Formats: sequence, structure tokens, C-alpha cells
Amino acid sequence: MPQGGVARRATKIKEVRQQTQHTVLLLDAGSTLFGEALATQSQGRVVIEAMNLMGYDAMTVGQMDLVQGVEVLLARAKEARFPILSANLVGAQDRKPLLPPYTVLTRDGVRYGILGLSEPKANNWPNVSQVVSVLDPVETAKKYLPEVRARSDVVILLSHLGLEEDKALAQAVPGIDIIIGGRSRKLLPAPEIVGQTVITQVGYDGEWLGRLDVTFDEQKHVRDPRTEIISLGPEVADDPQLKALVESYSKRYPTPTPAK
Amino acid sequence: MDRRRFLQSLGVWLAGSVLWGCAPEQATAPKPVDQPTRPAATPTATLVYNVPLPPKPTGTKGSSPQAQTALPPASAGAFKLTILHTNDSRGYVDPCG
Repeated sequence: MPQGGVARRATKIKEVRQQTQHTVLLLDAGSTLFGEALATQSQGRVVIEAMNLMGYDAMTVGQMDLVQGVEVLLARAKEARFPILSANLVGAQDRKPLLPPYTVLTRDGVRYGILGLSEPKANNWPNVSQVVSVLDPVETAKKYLPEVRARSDVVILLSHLGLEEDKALAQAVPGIDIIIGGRSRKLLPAPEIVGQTVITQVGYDGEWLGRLDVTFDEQKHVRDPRTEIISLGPEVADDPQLKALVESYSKRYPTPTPAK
Repeated sequence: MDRRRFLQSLGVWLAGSVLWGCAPEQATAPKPVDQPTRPAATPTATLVYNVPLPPKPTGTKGSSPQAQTALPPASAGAFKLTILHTNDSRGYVDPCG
């Protein structure tokens, strides 16, 4: 049964925002821009435009985001109205970060520090591995966490490392409140808890929307984490704006028909 | 491409779609090194889960004394946060399946 699509996702995002009195963040854990034909043909433009319309707050970079090369990724990052983060993707020569390592978003008086980490094989593409290096994620997290923590009330890691790697990182680097993960493409039935870190991720291919609700106590410690897998099946109505966006790109990049 | 080859390709595509859930990536794109496994459970209805956290020691958290001193109170009392999130959507802007 067909699942997913940005038009249905946008409908659910609007619903949650309308029904929620407190802060709602919209985050993506990477391998997002390329793969499906329309996204590949448009060099990721349709995805970035959709994410802009949905009001994403931040994303990190996974291996699939580098499939068309560094220049294309950086061009899409400029068009995004949200930061694309990775603390451990650096130039192979100058060792400087390719993208912002983290961002701090203030919502309703609370500062959310959001750090991005990419998997060690994120640069494993022709013409990318020569110009981009991937630093050790655990060491990179240890390096940036004090800085992010000093500027934030809540620390969120956007990770494309994989679930087991996220759990190991939470163990090795205490002080991260929440890890929104990817790469393992697990549809987690419940949040994973390692120490005081809540870890979750939600499948793949945009077929579901993940929801994590947490309460922070007076000491800003996470309490009562609840996860929800929001299905994006045919029962969800299309958001007209996102539907029109996809249709406009479909006309611009029609699916090739086989030769007779 | 002749009709027979086209039908063969279509058959492969359909088989991949059934097994994987979505059309495979474009043939021109190199495959990622790490191939995932499809989750055993593929819910079609919204599911809710709740896991209690263990009690936490009192005191301000922070990985260094500097971090603690640089942490002014942002707001009084407890507060709630909702995170909506996606991962590995691989450019799927249309429903797949």
C-alpha cells in the first residue's frame, strides 16, 4: 500500500503544530535529498523546496546526501531555509567543517542546541572521498559537546551513524538529551534509553513521520519520553501546497518512457 | 529497448518494489555501501509508546564546569517539547509502495 509523500507529511505536521501549545521542532537525520527519480533529476531541489515549505528546523547529512557531489550539496544548503549540519564532515585538505557543526535555536525562551554527525562512510562516493574527510564521530561529539552545552538548555544530536552507534555514542559521551537517528532505517517500536539519553528514529523513504514528546523538569532533565509512529497512508489528505509543488516538478522532469 | 526487454525490466522493478516497499534507486546512482534491512514491523496505523527514564541524580548537568557556569536559567519550571522527525527519506516526495 503506498505510504508517505511530502503532501501527506505536511498535513500531519500542520495538525500537530495546530494541536500543540508548546514548542514543536521539525528535524531530519539525513540521507534525504537524493535517491528517488524526481529528487535525483532535480538535484535535490524538490526536496529542499518541500522541506522549506514544511518548515524544517534542521537536518544532518547522510551518505545519500553526497551522492551528487559536494558542490550540489552545498548549493542545496544555501537554498535551504534551515541549517544543514555536520560536525565531522571536513575538507580533506584544510580539515575545516564543510557545513555548520551545530546550531542553537531559541523557542519559547528555551535554547535548543542541535549538533549534526555523519556516518564514517558518508564520503564513500567517486569524487567525494578525495575532497571530503569524515572525522571520528565520538571524538567529534566530545569536542563540540561542551561548547554546545554551554550555549544551550537542551542538546539534541541529529545522527546518521546508525542505531547501535548512537547507543554507543550516548554511552561514551554523556550529556546529550536526545538523539534523532538514521541510517539503520529502524522503525523503532519504543524510544531507546541509554543513561539519560533518549534515542529514536523512524524507518525510511518518508513512509512515516516520527513524533517524540518529552517533558523537561526544573533541572532540564528529560522526563517521560513518548514516541509515536505517525502513519502516512492513503487515509491522510494531501496538503494542497505540497501537492502542487510535487506536480510542478513532475511536469518539469517527466518520468522517462521506454523506447518502442 | 524492445518490448520483451521492457517487460523483463518491469518485472524486476515490480519484484523489487514488493520486496523493498519502494522503487529502487536510480540505476545511475551508485549504491550506498551499507544496505539496510527492512524492519519486520511496518505499521499502517499510528502507534504510541512510552518508556520511563531511570531517576536522575540531582544537580545541574554539563560536561564541564565552564558549561555549568555558562548556563543561565532559560525559563522557570518544567516545559514540554515535541520533535517531529524523519530520516533516510531518500528523495521520496511521492508516496511509494
